[in-house]
Amino acid sequence: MSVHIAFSGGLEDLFNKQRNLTVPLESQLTLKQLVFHLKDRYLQTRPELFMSGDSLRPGIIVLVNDMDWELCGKDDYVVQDRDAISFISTLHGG
Amino acid sequence: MEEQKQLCYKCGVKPPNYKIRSQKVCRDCFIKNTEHLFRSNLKALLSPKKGENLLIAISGGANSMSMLHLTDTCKNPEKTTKLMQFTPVLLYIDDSFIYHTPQSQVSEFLESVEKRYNVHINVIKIEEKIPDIEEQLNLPSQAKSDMLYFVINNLITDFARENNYQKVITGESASRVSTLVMSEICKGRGVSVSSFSSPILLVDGITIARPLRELLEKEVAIYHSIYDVPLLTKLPMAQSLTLPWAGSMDILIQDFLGNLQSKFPSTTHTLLRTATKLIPQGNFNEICAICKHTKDGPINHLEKFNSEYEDICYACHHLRQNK
Repeated sequence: MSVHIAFSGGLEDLFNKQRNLTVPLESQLTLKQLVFHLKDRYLQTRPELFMSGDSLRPGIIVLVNDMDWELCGKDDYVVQDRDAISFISTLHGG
Repeated sequence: MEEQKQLCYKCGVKPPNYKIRSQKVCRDCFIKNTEHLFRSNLKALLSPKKGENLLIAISGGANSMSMLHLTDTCKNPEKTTKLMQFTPVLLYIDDSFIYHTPQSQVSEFLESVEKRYNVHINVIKIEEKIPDIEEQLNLPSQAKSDMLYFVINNLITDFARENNYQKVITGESASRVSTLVMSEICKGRGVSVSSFSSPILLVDGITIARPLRELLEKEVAIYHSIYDVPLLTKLPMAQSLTLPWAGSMDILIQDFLGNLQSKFPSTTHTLLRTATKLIPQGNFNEICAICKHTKDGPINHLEKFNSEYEDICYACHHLRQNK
C-alpha cells in the first residue's frame, strides 16, 4: 500500500523542498506511527520543527483526505491505502 | 470516527470536514464563513471606497498570502453581490538577503502571484533601502527577528507615505496577534499592549488594519491549503528550538498559546479582548523611533540605564543592548 503526503507552510523545506511525496508502506500504520516513519526516513533537517517529544509539533495541522484529523481520531487513525495526507505548518516568526 | 457522523453546525446537511473552535463545519460553509468574516472586517475597519488605493503588504507567508486571496474575493462577483471597488496595490518587502533565500525562488514566487491575481507587485529590497542592514541585525536570533519585524513595518509605512496611500492592510491572524501581545509583554513593551492587539493602528498618519485578526491560524492554514495559494516560506531564525540559548521566545509562546487554544477554544479571542482594554495610565505622548509604539521611560532609578537614547522605549533599549 502507499499514501500520498503533501507538505506546506514551510514543512517542505524540512523534506528536501519536496511538497509531495508518495510513501510506500509495508504494513498498516496509525497516523502517529506514520509521523515517526516520515521523520526517520524522509526528514532532512531540524526535526524539532516537525516533532515535539513523541508526537507531531503543536501548530501543525493534518488533513486526511481533506478532513481534519481531529475528526478522524488524530494519532490513532489507521492509514488506508491511497490516503492523501496533508501536513500544514502554522509556525511563524522568531 | 464517531465524530464524522455528525453534521456541519452551520448548514446541518453536509458531513463536517474541519473542527474549528470546537465546532464541526463542512468545507463549503467553512469557505463561506471565512470569506464573509474577512469582507465584514475589511469594511468595518477601513470602508475602502470606489477607486481608492488599498496597500496590501505581503511577506509570502500563509497569513498575508491568504489575506491577498481573500481581498481578491471582495471583487469577485461569484463570491459576493456587494462588490468592493477599491484599487489593490501590492507591496513586497524583499528580505531574502537576510534569510538567504535564493533570488530565483523569490522571482518565481512573485511571478506566480502577479499572474494568478493579475496585479503588479511593488518590491523593495531591504539591503538597497537600508545599506547597513546587516550591521543593524547583528543580534541574537530573537532580537534579530524583532528588529527585522520593526524595520519591515517601518518600510511599509514609509512606502505608503511616500506614495500617498492612506490605507494599508497587513496579514496578522488572531493567533499571531495574541502571540505578539504575550511576547511583547515579556520583552518589556507592556505599555503598548493595546496597540499590539488592536485591529487598526494609526502610524505616521497612515491607517494600518488587520482584517485577519478574528481568524485563527488553523483557519488561515486550511483556507490557503484549499486554494493552494502560492507561498514563500522561511524557516525561523532561531538555530535550534531544542537548545534554550538558541531558541525563540515568540515560538515558545506560540506553542504555549496553541496548546491552550486546542484545549480551551476561547483562549485566543479572550486574550485579545482583554489586551485591547489594557490602556496605560499617565502621559505617554511620545512614539519610539524604532518600534513606532508608545515610548516609555525609566520608572525608577534602577532603570536609569534605559535612558541612554532619548527617542526609544524601554524594550528597544534592550534590543540595542543585545549588540
